[in-house]
Amino acid sequence: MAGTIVVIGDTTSGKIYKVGKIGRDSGSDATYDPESTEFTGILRTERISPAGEDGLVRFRRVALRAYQSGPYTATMTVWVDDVQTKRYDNSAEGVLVGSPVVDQTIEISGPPETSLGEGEVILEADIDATGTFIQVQLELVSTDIQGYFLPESIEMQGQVIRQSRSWPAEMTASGMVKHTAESQ
Amino acid sequence: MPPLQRFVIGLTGGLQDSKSIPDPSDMVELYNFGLFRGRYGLRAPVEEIQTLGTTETAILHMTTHLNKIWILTWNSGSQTVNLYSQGWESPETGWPGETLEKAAVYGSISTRPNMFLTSFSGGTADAPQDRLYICDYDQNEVTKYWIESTSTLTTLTCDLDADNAAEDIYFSLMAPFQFHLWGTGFYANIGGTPDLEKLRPEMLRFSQPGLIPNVDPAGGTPSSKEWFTFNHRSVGRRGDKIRALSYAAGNLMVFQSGSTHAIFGYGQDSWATKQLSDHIGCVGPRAAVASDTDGLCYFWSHDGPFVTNGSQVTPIGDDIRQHIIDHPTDLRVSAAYSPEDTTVYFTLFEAKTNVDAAGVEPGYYLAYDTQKQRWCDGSWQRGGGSPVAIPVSCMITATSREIAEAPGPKSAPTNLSGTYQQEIVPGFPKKDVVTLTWTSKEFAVDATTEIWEKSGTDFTLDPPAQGTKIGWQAASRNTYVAATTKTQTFPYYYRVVHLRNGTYSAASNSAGPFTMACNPTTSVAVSALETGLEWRIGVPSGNTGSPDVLDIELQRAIAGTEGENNWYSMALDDIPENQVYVYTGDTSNYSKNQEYRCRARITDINNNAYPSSAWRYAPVNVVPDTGSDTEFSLGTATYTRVSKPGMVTYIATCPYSNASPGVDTIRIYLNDGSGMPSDPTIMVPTRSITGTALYKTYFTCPWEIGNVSVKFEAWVADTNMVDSSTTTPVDVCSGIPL
Repeated sequence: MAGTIVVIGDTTSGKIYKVGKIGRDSGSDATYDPESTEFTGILRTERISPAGEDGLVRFRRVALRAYQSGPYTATMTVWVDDVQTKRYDNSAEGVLVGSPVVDQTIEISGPPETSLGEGEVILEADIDATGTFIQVQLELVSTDIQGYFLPESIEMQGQVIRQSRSWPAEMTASGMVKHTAESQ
Repeated sequence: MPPLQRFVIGLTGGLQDSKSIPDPSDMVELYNFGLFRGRYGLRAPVEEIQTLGTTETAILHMTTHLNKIWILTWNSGSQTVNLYSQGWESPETGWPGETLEKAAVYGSISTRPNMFLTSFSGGTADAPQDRLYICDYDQNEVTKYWIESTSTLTTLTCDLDADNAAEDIYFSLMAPFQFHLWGTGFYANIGGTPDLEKLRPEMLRFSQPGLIPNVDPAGGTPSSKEWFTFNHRSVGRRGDKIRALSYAAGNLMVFQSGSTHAIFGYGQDSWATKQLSDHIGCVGPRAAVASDTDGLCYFWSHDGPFVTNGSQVTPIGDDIRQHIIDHPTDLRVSAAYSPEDTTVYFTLFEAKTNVDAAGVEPGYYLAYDTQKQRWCDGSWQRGGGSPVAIPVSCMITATSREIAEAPGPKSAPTNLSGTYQQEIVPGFPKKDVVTLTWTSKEFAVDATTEIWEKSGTDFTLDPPAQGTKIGWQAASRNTYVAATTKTQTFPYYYRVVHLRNGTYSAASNSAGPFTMACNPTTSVAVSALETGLEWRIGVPSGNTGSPDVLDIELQRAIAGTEGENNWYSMALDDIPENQVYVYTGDTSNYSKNQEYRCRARITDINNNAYPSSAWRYAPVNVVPDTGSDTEFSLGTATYTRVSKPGMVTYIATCPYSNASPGVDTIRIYLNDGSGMPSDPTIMVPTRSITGTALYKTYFTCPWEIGNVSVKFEAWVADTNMVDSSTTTPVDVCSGIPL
């Protein structure tokens, strides 16, 4: 059967490699690395200010919409104003020592037992942080994916505490150029 | 509690590091993710296909040729550049397919070279050419090409300066375009050194269509060449090296470091060039790739990535300016296009912050989705996020194809037989005619039958190694008449073989041996001038056979005798053929008042008993009135009986005249009535006889009865010069003439 691959040559040895294809060999059979057969995909959004550049938002939930066809595990990390979101540390027993909160890393696995199989899923996580902008990182380890797992969009749900100010009717020469439109 | 508002903060998009106001479709990082049908998809970074050899140091370049991946490697230990072929994965066992080491292309390569492979398919319908060229970007090594069907590696040479001496060709880059093969950077300086011959790095030469040789109007050796002297174009500024070749919208894209050009046309009479940019070029020979599906060419310049449609040059790196700054580029940048996901990959060769334990720079690429016009990122990440160190030397797109093998002949022809006869037509050269018949086994309209001949010994036909192809015809025909004028008798053998789609069948049985009754193709023409003593012997052109020799004989009639048998010959030096020869001879050999004639023929000096042509005589004989008056002449011989007691003694006398110095011999023959003996009866001791006198000798008749007649012969250096007359027989007993 005809097929196209991208082949890489190594400049320090006699090895040649083929580049993986999306959707075909993105599973756990990679053999490039003699120490490991798994690889990690990392997706990190830009810093998005839902209420504008000087707005204030209480971020409460992050939702990932994806298309899947089998078991998966995805790890999500969230930053608000470049600070990783926190959760209460419930690992210690007895006397609490140090900060009661630790960095939050959200690990979501599926599909649930009630799943009807292949289809779209929405993975939601609770966060609680207040700030102007939010950034989300999604990590997928290849060995945690069976079939395929295709992220589509990431959504934030929160409450706008303060909306950014809009531009005045007359703009002076000292006015800032950088501006975001109304984000409602 | 107020309701939660929903804000999209991440959508399917690409890398964006240079936007002042980001939006949800902008991503900061996309490691091992790609844009996949409106969503993101994990992409496995790399999978090792094969490790070539055991001590190869580096992969230099790769390409696809004859439905395989071909790899050029460098081995720092043996200092060789080696060629490998890599078959496709097996459906049952996966990678690797068959791996073969083909040849050591170059030796004594102590530093890593910058070399490239170029595949070209051309040739004629019945003689296809599939060649894999290897060229050195730095032009330190001569360009070579590999032919897989014969497993041969050949140095590319051509007499480009028409000085009848072929030069080694040093192309820096090569690429096929419009059924021509193009090579850059070579200029043949007449009588120049190799360094001088690379002085035109902005020049491109183009071959004959399909590398089919043709007669070069500029001349040179051989007259039929694959590359003509004046078939070249130049781009940009003189001295500005051509960095890369690619394709866009039917143009050949030619990149220099700071300019981009397009060559278009379809042949020698129509090639034209146009400059698309005088500031944007390509960083290196691997950094440009044709997308193949949309007629665009993507390349990496010193200002980042660009795209060209053959008419204009457009930047595409606005979204990733920070990435471009973080990874300055050099000529090692590689580009490859994946048509299945319409993604262009650029590999950059600068280290990122993470290196592996061995300190090797990780492989790093930027992927551009040409449909979404978005960028993705990806160093090869292990589980856990640390990079895999695969420093990339080159990257290509390879497509496996289900190529149906063009069918060869069904089977070999059989029952070959033949007959021989010599055809004689007055006024025309004689022809040696061999008529062959056989049973054909192939009747396809695109199949042919070749007729092969070999002289001397029989052969097992293995074209083209043995024998000579003397003809070809449609495979369905089963007779062939070979009518030629042979110049060698030899035994000749024949075989026939079917040919279809470049594949030969086995050979038929052998027909022969046939021994030719051939004659020389031409004959000599002999003429004599009226002045005499000069003969013109002409051997017309067209005489074949090698080597032929011209025999010339000068014959002199013996005075006083008649008939051809009395001519004696002086064999002259053999003279080569194909010239008009004027023979005058050595005047000292001539005698006044003697009749001379000249004859000539062609003879083959080959040991195969080649027959000579017939003697051709000069139309007239010559009696020179010049020449040395030194001929020995004999008069009428007589003898008388002189009686002595108890013995009958005779005196034989013969007048002679000889003014020539030298050694002469007189031989006296006595005929007792049974015929003049072949050996002289009386051999006079060799002595010089000069002057004019009466030669006298005494002899005793050896017979008691019978008749005796006497003849004198004068010999010069074992050559019978002249004879006397024969005396009247005398009864020795009575002494009375009968």
